[in-house]
Amino acid sequence: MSTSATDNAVQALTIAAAALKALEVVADAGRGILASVQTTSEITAVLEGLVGLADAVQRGLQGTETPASIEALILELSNSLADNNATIDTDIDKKFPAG
Amino acid sequence: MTRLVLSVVSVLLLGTSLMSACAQSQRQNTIHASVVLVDGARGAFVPWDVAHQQGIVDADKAAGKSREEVQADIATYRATQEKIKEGFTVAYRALSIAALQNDDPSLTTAISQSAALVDDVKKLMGSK
Repeated sequence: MSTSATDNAVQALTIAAAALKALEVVADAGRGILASVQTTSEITAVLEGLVGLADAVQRGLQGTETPASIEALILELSNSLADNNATIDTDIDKKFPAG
Repeated sequence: MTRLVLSVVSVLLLGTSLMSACAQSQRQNTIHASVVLVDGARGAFVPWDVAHQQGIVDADKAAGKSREEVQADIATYRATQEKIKEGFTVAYRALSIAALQNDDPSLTTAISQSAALVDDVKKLMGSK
C-alpha cells in the first residue's frame, strides 16, 4: 500500500473511532438521563426523546459544525419549548376555564 | 548545502502542517462529540418538559386548585425551564466559538459548559 493510501486509511479509521466515541457519549448521556426520571409518563417521554438521539447522532456524524448550523439548533430548541408551553396553556384553558 | 537546508526546512514545515491537520481533525471530532452530547440532552429534555408540565396541571386539577394557582405553579416551573434553555444556548454558542477558533481555552470552555448543561438537565429531570 502506498504511503498516501495508508495515510488515508489511517485518517478514515481515526474518524470512525471518533464517531463511535461520540455514539458512546450519547448512549451514556441517554442512560444517565433515563436513570434520573421518576414517573411513568416522564420515562415514556424520555424514551420517545431518545429515539430523537438517532437524528442527533446522524447530524453529528454528517460534517463539521458551523456557527449557522449550531444557531439552527438553538432556534429549534426555542421553538420546541414554545410549542410545549402553547400545548400546556391550551390544556389549562380547557381544564380551568376562565371566568 | 543550501538545497539540503531548504529540503530539511521543507520537510519540517510539511511535518508541522500535517501534525496541525491531525490536531485540527481531533479538535473537530471533540467538538462533534460535544454537540452530539448537548443535542442528546436536548432530545431527552424537550419531551420530558411537556410531560412534566402536564403532570403539574393534572396534579393541580386533582387537588382542586384554581386557574390562578395552576398558572402560578406553571410559571414557577417555566422560570427553571428558561434557565435550562439559557444553559443550552450558552453551551451551543461556546461550541460554535470553539468551532471557529483554534485555541485550547475556547475548546476547554465549550467542553466544560456542555458537561455542566447535561448535568443540570439530569438534575432537573431527576427532581420532583
